[in-house]
Amino acid sequence: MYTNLRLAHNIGNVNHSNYHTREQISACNDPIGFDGIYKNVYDNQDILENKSGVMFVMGNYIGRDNKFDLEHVPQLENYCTLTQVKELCDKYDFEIGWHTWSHRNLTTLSDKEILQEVTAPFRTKYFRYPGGVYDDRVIEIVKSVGYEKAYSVTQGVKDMNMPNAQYKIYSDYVDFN
Amino acid sequence: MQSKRELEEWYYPRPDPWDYKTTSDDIYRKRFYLTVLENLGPDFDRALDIGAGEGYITTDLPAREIHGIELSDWAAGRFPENVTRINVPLGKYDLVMTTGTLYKQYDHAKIYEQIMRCANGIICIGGIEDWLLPYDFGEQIESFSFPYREYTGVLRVYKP
Repeated sequence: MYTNLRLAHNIGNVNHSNYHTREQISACNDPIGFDGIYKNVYDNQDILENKSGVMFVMGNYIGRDNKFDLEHVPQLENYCTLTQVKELCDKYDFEIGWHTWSHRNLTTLSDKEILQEVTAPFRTKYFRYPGGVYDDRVIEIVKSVGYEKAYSVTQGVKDMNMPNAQYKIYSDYVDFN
Repeated sequence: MQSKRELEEWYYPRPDPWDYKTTSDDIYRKRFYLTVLENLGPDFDRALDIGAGEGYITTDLPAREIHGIELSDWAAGRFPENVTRINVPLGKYDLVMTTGTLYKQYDHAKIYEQIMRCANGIICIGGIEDWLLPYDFGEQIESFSFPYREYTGVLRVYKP
């Protein structure tokens, strides 16, 4: 179940690690976990044919834009509506996942705030840590909500025999070539 | 049971007496409810909110026509323009919602009767888990719980 999930955000010709070209996404043979979900993924959906993976949604930004993140990313982008994300999951071999409501660093929050952030408004098995950041306290709360897998991109393990490995899965980016 | 006069004493002195619009847990709660509805709908034809207060949740229900039932005249007088105040359900609704009303201090039996009489789609019951009374609304198709103030908030979705 997606222990080799690759990370991608946007699909477009922008020279930044938050962007992959259509060719780079097409060349990826592993499952892909998209974070966002950015509207440009929806607009380039034809290349998702024969791909699989997870669409990690951020609740507060559904149908909105990424103004909150502009100090980290090169340009303003729109996110999909929930209807558009569900359409992608219906048409292609993707499942919906949760990437918190507000994309805050969970390790800096209270237990109550973490629980609010990780509680999704739909059923899903998959969770992605904002910024890839987690600690033991965050993992315990993510487990308590019922997720089966949780992914990072900045820390974690690839050996699924490690303790709690399914809640600290390390994701590589989709190759940039 | 809380009387209309007691309810008016809450609403009369100032708008938003429970500080829903400025309390992060209530902003979260509202977004949670609406995202659940977006996932279930996304759009409804006729929505009814029973015990709508000042329409804090009601105004953003994803429906073409939105009705609200509210005992307090002061609260209903503050309904946003897109919410129509009614005293009893008018026909059938494909979305019926009530939040924070099926508690022992309110006229829960009347609210339950109204819901069951007019629901023709989904029923959404929100509130504080420990306070909600156990009514039978039919098949429960979704259930969510989340921290809310010092309580556990829930949203349960039924098909009657």
